[in-house]
Amino acid sequence: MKGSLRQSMAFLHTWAGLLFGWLLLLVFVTGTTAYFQDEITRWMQPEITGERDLTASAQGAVDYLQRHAQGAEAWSIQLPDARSVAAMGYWKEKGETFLQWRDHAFMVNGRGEVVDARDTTGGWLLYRLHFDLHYIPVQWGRWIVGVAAMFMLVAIVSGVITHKKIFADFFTLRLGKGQRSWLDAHNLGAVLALPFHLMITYTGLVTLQRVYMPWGITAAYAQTSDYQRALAGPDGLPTRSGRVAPMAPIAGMLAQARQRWQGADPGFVAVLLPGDANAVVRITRGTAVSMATRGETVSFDATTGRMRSPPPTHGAAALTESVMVGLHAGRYAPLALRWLYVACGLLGCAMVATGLVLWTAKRRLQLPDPNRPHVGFRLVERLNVATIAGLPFGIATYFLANRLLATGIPHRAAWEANALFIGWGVLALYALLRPVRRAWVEAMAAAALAYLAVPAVNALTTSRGLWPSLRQGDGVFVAFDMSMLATAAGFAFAAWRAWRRPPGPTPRPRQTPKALA
Amino acid sequence: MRFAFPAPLSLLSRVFVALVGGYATAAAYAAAMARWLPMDRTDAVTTGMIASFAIYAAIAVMAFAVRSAARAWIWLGVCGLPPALALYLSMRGGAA
Amino acid sequence: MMPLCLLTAIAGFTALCLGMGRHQRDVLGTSLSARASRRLKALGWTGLTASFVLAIVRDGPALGSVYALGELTLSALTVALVASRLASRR
Repeated sequence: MKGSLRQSMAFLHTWAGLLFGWLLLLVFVTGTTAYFQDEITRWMQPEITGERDLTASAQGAVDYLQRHAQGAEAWSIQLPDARSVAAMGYWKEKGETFLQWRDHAFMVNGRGEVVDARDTTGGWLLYRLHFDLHYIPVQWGRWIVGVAAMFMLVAIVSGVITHKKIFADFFTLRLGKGQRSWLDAHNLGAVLALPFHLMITYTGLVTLQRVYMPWGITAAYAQTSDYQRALAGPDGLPTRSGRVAPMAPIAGMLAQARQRWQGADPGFVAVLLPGDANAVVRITRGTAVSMATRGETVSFDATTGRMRSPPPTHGAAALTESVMVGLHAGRYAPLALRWLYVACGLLGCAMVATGLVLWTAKRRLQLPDPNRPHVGFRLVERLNVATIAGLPFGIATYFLANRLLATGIPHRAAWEANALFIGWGVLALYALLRPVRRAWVEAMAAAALAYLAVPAVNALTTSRGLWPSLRQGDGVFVAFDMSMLATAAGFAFAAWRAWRRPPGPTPRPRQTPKALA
Repeated sequence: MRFAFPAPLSLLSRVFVALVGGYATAAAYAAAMARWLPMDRTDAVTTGMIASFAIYAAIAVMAFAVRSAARAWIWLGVCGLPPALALYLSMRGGAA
Repeated sequence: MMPLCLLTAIAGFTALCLGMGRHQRDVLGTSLSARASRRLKALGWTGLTASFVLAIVRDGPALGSVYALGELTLSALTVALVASRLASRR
């Protein structure tokens, strides 16, 4: 590769970016929605109303589990944080995997009652899509997303080297100038949120580093389980005694945990070997109080409710890892900061999308015959429409399916997820069949209509439409519907711009010139 | 600006150095740090893991920044041998 | 205090933007003297620093710096969009 450093870095940036661009867009879009995971879940379960009461819902969940899952291996209760109302309980039978384990989930409201809410995976589906993908084994998904994140890290470094006038161009956005405009927009999305992009990519890798880079564990420990024991301390997994013993009230254990954490709320309860005399209750601190997300778990003997010796504390590296994971997930973030996270996430989406479009805008002018582009070019062009408009369309159909699918049907939650991919697939197929310029206009108009339909269908199918929510001051439902309308407006604007855009410059005056897409 | 597409063999060679060489080097550093860093062992493991991604990225960028594919291989060796040697010594000698 | 941080950062970025040759031509239509540009840039950096310090005073060093980076990003975006709009008007 001859030429300057900048040229070879431009080469690396272009191809590393293109190869994983579509996947990275999926990761950015779903990751951005994940900052409002709890709120999305609340919107998707309109049956759950009322105020949060942590202790009452925890006790309600334990009562339900004692009636329905006495012999299970483990119970889990996700307690409501300040952003949600209900606790979610689920259990694991012997031999079940994590995902099956979520199959028997139930919701408990602040009065301690199990709510018959519609079967949905809510915001959690989009959150898992962010790093597990869907329809494929979880470990594959994580590796694929990990490779994409590594490409992203390399693309950021090479992009910074390529873009030498990074500060001279800091505020530059020249609109209506074809390729120039896409380059400006791409630079702007990248440079303005550069601290966020670097942080989110690196910490994303750190989040799953035990999957991606386990070789330190291999080198330092005979077995992975030795490492896990060293992390968790002597307080390992309990062994089954076979004797049945009742469990002490959960409220007392929650109070002890809270006292230990200077009043901070517990966030998660796990009961290992419930009903057995050796059962252990583990309570993990809620994630809203601290940037650090790992650790801070206390264990209790389930039968006596007495606190066991606290787990070992680890050094600076463990804290660093914990804070990095915390920064990535943003669970600690108060509402205003959460919106700043979303703004940065949206800039990331814009950076990836404009980068993908830029690839075609740049090459269109160099095509031997712009009216008959080669197969590779056409593939990129179509995949761009299919992803940039298709994925958001799919997410809208996911929300619509949540309101429109009958509540009693089997595998309802799975069908909501299927709706996302059916919606996405249909629009992608459509984009393949239309002339590309029409495909952009029509796909984005379709996305706008779909997002417009979400609050409308919500108002028609539930009693919690935008107007009643406004009157009751229901912030979550108002914000959700308004976000749908804002997204609809964004896509409508984009469709309108694509439709009335003047035909772009062509290298040779021949036939109808194609615009820069 | 048109990108000068590099010769296929040179490109393949660089891609290999970046993808495979980069991962192997990062893994070697992670493993060597886990055994050699003078701190609590879980912490040494964690430090190695956190640092490894920066090392991987640096090797990947290096593979395309240097003037020829041959140099990329040389630099890979220069970067990768120390941790590999340190790891070998510690596993053989049972140190750390 | 968040609006104050945002306003300080927006003022800072505006000054920085107007201190740059290209943006002077695009937004103001004229070029300012080298001295005026230097002063605007200094003013701009002061604004950004003030915004960062305010965020840290408000939320402490850890949470404050995360907030500050987010606020700076949002402010820079605002200034860039306004500058782009003004430049295209001319």
